[in-house]
Amino acid sequence: MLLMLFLVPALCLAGETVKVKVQKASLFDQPNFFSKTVATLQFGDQLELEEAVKDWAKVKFGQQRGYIHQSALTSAKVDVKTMVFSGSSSSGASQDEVALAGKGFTPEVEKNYGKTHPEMNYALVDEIERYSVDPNSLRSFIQRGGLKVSEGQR
Amino acid sequence: MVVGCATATQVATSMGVSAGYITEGQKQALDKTAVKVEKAARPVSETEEYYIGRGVAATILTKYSLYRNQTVTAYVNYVGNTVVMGSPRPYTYGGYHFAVLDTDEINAFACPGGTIFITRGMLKVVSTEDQLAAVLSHEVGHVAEKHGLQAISSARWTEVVTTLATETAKAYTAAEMASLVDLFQGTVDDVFKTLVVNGYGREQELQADGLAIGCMKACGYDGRQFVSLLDRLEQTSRQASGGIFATHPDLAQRIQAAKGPGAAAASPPAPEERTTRFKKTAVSW
Repeated sequence: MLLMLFLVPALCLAGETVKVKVQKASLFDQPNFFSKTVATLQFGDQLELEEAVKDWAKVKFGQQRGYIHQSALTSAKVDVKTMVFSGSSSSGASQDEVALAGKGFTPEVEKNYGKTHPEMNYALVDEIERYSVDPNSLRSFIQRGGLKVSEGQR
Repeated sequence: MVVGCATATQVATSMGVSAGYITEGQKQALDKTAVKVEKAARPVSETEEYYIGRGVAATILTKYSLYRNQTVTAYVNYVGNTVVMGSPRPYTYGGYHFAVLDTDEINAFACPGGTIFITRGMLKVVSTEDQLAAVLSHEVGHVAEKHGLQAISSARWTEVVTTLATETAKAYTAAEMASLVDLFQGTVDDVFKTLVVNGYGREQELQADGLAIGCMKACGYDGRQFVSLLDRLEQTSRQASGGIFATHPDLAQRIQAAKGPGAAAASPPAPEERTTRFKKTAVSW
């Protein structure tokens, strides 16, 4: 019995629903960041977990199947905006869970904070968040540098 | 494991009333407290981590200027995004972004959520792309393990969670908003003080070092260059002070740990391209 517990995947059991907990993530056709992108997923998208493959999850998204890195997923059974009751055994959200969903430090809090602290240059933070690297250019950078495409580590 | 605490308490208090040990009034007071404690134990969510990280980044930018050199910034982002894929947490809510601070202070900062700063002073210390990867991997390690969030005082986080209304209304009241803004500032300050003033604890630094070596190896960088970087920093510390030397005092211990059982094995020599692109970019920092 104990051995079986150790064999349970990091996320949860196959067939369960998992959700995307990051702004944007890619669904790949292989468990590799540079394989073909099957779909682009958004925060809150629900996926059906088929199996865990090392640090990746093989999932079904609508009619599409593919792999997504587990760090983009949560197995929380309530709204992903809160991590209050992760692993809750309740089938539906309680009143408190609903109330807390979407609360905490939100864009509204940041906006009000910015109003009372004009020295905070959020425009500069936004500029930094626009720094991005094109995936094809990154693959070329890695290959030309004699590096390897990692599949993540645990 | 704290999930069931409130329910378990309610069961226990119901039994207590039935057995006559406590009154109904006492039961209600206890049940309310149990719910508060359970809420207070809830971790920072991915989106909250993101907004806290933005606040920390904005605070850092009140202290340092951004170095707006496109070539250097692009190169740092290429190396940074390479090592991110070798980390245990390649995704965060808003993703990883790397920026350079225009100061000769030798330092690097990892904001919760993935905005990572490296100073021009630190760039001048590194002598290879692998050593740059070492710095960035170490910072990515701090993000992966959420070390910045651990700096938030538990008393302050408890106050954040218990301030949140329990009604189903979606909008904050004015009083709630004012209170949350104050608590947000306090939270950001907690993290900023750890990153910039006090530094992380020794265990967190050693953990980030271990993750960095693993990350470098996963990406094909030479993990031994992590030790080379620490050696360079140690030599530099004899002439410089402040910055990373104030917040990371245990260089000798870190060097010893990095050479220990988890030390990186030999790697094939870097191809010419990796050396050339490093030297070409380095003239700009």
